[in-house]
Amino acid sequence: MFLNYLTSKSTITKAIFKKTTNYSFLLILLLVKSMMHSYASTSQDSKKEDSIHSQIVVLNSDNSIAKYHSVSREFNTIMEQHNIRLVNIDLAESSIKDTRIYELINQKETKVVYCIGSKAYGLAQKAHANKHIIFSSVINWSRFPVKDGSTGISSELGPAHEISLIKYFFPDVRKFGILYDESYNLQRVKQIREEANALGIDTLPIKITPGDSVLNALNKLTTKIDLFWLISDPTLLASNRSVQSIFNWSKKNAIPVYSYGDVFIKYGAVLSISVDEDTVGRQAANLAIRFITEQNSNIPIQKPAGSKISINLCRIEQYATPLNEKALGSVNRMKTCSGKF
Amino acid sequence: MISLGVHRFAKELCFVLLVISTKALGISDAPVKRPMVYFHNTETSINNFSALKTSFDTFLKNHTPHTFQPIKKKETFEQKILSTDTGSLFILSSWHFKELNRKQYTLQPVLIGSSNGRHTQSVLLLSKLKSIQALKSKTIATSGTIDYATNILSKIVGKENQHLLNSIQILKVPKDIDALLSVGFGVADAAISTQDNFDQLFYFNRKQFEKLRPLGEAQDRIRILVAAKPSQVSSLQTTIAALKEMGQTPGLNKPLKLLGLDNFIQVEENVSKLLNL
Repeated sequence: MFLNYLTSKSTITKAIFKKTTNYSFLLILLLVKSMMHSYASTSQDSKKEDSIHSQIVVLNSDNSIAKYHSVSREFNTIMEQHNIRLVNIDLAESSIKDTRIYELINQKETKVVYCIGSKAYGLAQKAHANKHIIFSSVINWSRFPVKDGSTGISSELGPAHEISLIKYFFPDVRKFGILYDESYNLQRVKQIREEANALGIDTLPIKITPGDSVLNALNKLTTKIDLFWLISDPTLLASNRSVQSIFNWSKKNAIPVYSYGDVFIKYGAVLSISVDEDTVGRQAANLAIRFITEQNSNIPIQKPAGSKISINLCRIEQYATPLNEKALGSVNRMKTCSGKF
Repeated sequence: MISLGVHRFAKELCFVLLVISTKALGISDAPVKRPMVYFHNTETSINNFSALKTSFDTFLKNHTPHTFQPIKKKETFEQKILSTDTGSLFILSSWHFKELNRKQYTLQPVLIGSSNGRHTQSVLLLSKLKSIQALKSKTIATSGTIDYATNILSKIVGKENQHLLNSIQILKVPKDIDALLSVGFGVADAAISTQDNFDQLFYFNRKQFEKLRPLGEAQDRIRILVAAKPSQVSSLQTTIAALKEMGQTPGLNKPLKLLGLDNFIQVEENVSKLLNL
C-alpha cells in the first residue's frame, strides 16, 4: 500500500524507499491524495483515464551517466505532463532486489517498462512479464531478443541520416573512404555503401586486420576520395598512435575527416554527428503513450530522430572544402582557429 | 610640530587603508550591470548556445559594450524583459514577439532577420500522407516548442479539423532537418519545417524530398527579430548599427549564419503591420 502511494508520482529510487520518515510519508500521502483528486476531476476522456490508471516502470542502468540521465529526464517530463505514474529505479544506486523489481513490473497497473541501457533491458527481460518493453541506449540491441509488444530506439543514427547531413554540409563530396575490420563492421560498412549509393555517393572501403599499418591503408585512399569516414572500429582505433596517424595523414593530404563523435573535432575532424539523447527520451515517451492509449502492440524499432552536430571551421578553411553556409544554422558546437572547443 | 606631523600622517594612513579596504570589499563601487543581447528562439530546439555566445561575443566586443546571452527557458527570457533596465536588446521569434505584445510586454522591433533577400518565410506541414484527415493519431516532428507547433498546426488544419489536434503526438527534435528526415525514416508521419529548410532537402536527399508533399502552409511569417524596450531604443543605436553591419561585412557574418540568417535589416512599415503593431 505504501509503495502504491509512493509510486503514484514521478521519481522514486531505492533511496526514497530507505529514507522516507513518518513525516515525509504523511506529506507524500497528502500530496498524492491531492494529485489523485485532481486526476479525477480533470480526466475527461477515456485516453486520459487510461493514462491515469497506467504505471510505467523506468529502469535506468546508471543515472549518473550523462546520456542516460538526459534520456530519463526528457522521458519523465513528458510522462508527468500526461499524468502517467512512474516508478523510477536507478540500478546503479539502488539496492532494491531483482525480485522486487520483477514484482513491480508484474503489477497489474504496470503497462510499460522503459529500459535505459543494456543492464536494464537484460533485467526487464528476466521478469518474463507480459508487458510492453521499450529500450534505448542499448549498444547492439540485436543481440537481445525482442518479443512481440516490445520496441525501442537504437543507439546509433542510421547511415542515411548521417550521409544526408554530410551532403547538407559538404554538397561537393562525391566519394567516401573507409577503413574497417570486417570482424566488427562488415554489416555497418555494407549499410553505409548501400545508403551512400542511393544518395549518389561512391564509397571506397578498405579492410584492415589487427597489426596492419593504418598509414599504409590510408595511403591507398589518397587522391581517390573527397572525405574519410572514421567509423567506430576497435582495430582502426586500437591506439592513440593510430588516431594521430589518421589526422596527420588527413592534414598532410588536405582530406577532411568525418567522425561519429565530437571528441575527434579537437584532433582535426571537420564534422561530427552524434545522437541527440534528449530526443531519444522524447521518442521513448511517445512510444510509451502509444502503447498505453492505442492498445497497439506492433511498433517497429526506431532510429534516433535527433542529431548533434559539431564542426571544425578552422580545418574546413585550411582544406578549402566547400561548405554550405546555410547548414551552419544546424550546428551545435563549432571550433574556430582562435577559439577553444 | 612632531606630534602634529604624526597625527596628519596617521589620518592619511587611515584614509588610504579605508580606500583600499572598501575597494577590496567592493563597497565603494556600485555593481556594474553590463547591457546584454538576450536570445531565445521558440522555433528551434537546437542547443548551439556555446557556439552562438562565442561568435556573437567575438563580434560584439569590438563594436559595443553589449554581451550575448542565450537563454533556454522561455519563462527566464520573459523575466529578463521585465527586469532589465540596462539598455538590453532581445532576439526572439516573431511568433514569440506577437505573443508577448498580447501579454502587454511592450517591445519595439528594431531589426529583422533576412535570408535569401526575404524577411518572411512560409512554414509547411509536410508528409507522405495524402490529407489532413489522415493525421489522426499520427506523430508530427517539429523543431519548435510545443506551443509554437500547436499554434502552427491549428492554423494549418483549419477550424473544421481542430479535433485532430487532440489525437496528434508531437515529437520535438533539435532542428527542421531532423524533423524532415524523421518522416523519411519512419519515426514521424509528418514534419513542420520552414520552406527554406525543405528546399535544402532537395539538394542533400532528393529521394526524401520527392516523397514529401505539403499538407498545409502558414504563410508570410517574419523571421527572427531584434527588439528593445521603446524607451531605450534611442540609446541603443550603436549596437543596432553594429548588428546591421554584421551581415554586410564578409567574415563577420558567422553569428548570423548560426541563426540561419544572412543579415539583419531595418524594420519597414509593412513589417509592423505583419506584427500587428
